[in-house]
Amino acid sequence: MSQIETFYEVMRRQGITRRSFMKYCSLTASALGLGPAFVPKIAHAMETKPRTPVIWVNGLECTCCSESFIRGAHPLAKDVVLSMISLDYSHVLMAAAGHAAEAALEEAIEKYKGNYILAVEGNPPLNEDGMFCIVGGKPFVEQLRHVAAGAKAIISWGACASYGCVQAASPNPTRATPVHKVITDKPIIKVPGCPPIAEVMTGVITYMLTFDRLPELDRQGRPAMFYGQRIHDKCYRRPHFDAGQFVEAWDDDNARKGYCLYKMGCKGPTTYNACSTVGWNEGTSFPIQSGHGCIGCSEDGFWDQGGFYNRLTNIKQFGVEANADQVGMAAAGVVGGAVAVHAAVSALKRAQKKTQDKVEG
Amino acid sequence: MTPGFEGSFLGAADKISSLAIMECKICWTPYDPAMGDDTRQVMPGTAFLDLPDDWSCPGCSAPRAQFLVREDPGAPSAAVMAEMEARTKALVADFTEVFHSRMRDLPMVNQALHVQAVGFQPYEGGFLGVLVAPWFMNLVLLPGPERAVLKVGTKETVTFPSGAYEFMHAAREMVGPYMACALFSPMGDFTSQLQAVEVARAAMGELFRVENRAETDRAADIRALREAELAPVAEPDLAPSRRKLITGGLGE
Repeated sequence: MSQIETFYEVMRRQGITRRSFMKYCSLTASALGLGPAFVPKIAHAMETKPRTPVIWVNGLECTCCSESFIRGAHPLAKDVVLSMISLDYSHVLMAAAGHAAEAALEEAIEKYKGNYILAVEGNPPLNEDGMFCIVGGKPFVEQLRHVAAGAKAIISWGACASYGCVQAASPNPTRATPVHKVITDKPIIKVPGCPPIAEVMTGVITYMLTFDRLPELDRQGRPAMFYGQRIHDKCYRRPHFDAGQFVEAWDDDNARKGYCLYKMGCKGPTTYNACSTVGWNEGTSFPIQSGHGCIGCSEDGFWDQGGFYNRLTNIKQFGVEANADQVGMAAAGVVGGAVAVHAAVSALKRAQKKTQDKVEG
Repeated sequence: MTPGFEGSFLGAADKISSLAIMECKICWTPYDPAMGDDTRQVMPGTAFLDLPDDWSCPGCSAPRAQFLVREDPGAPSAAVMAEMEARTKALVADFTEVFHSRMRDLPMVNQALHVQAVGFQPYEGGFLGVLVAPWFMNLVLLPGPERAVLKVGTKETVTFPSGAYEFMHAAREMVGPYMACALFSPMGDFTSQLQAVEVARAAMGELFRVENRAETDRAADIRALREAELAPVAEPDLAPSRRKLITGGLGE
């Protein structure tokens, strides 16, 4: 295993003075809400603690994932980027460009072989040998395979990397393919959404760094703590759904009263994401709260699931973590104690609050 | 003595009220305080507990302690149970009305099901149970008088042994304010009412079991660990002292 440098060593190597380093530490302290007394402690941690190298590659995408990520507030994205990981390669955030950038990528791969986390934003198109997306003069799919070979784990950011998103929508002329169908021999964690919520992105990455393992995943490979809950179940308009109070037309009286948007095509009942619990822009709002139905952007093939305003009709699913015996229960109509208990326990686990306010125990 | 499968009142005077109707566990002869007992010329209106000490079953002479409670309208729990029944009945009536007036022609509704309240039990002055309907299954908390009534859609966390659950405040005309936590919706995977009720009943049991806790994002744990990393490092005491100087550190 190659020696991983500490944050301080990297900064020194990049020609940053000790004075600037201490100034940075005091900025971090204020960003974390800590007093000036913490500055030397942060400096100490940064001088001694090795960071986890992260390589962030971009394929066919729109950069909305990066845009979302840098707006993370809990924990602060800049805290994550600057003090927990070393973002050794990222088109969007790195200062280097051109050959220097590609050289940095090769250097990082070589140096941290088997130890780095690969974050993929966007997906590779496979048609015409991948010529529809060229990075550094070569097809992106080649870069992806090359970088993935030495990765410890892969994070698929966004609907593009997880499921294909708009570029993979029918008829998919470039044959854009999600990452897990190209890289099959590495642990992949999907963080879908268009884009994913900032706090979910930083939450996933800090979890992986802190506990040095992937969080619990659902059957589709998404972190269960953020994608285990249906928008519909945690929606603040849910009481209106229960009571059969629906918006019947845009801007009608019921819309002003904030009734349920199911009849206006809301995809909340089939969408698993943390929007209705975590919210967007530091929890300010989320689509339903601003009066528009959920479009289901974190679900597989959401561009091919009919219009945004078509009412859901065929919704027969227990949820993404439905397993064989639940399906069996639905098919055969078995009424068995164990099967019922299993269904009940998964429903309860889904319903539980997933954000932790205080340390347990 | 452990009574085992005893069931009879065994002289536990504090457990029954003066209105309790008792029943012999051997020959099922009842004693109703409203009727008294002709055999021993006990006047109507005499509570079971006020019967003479040597009173025994008029039917089979079994001792007084061998009587069972048939019903006890005067017990404090009876009033609670009556209130619970009234409130769950209103709940079911209300949502049945919603079904007939607004939901029944929607495609997402499971026509095999009907509205039913399952497993309601007293909880913190209110009542907790599961409401099964053709379009949802919710944990429902009919709040007690001391729980604050908040705006419809406000979330409040209620903690059970299996974890913290976010309940949403809501209100209906017949039910009044209530709180609900969604378990299933839509209900397309249930093939029969029996099956839905079975799952609802299981949910009520599993709610109180610690092992059903799911993983959270552990944001607080992560923060605590990060702060511990930044915790002060034990600084060696560098201040010179007379003792250190003379003993060269050996006297410590």
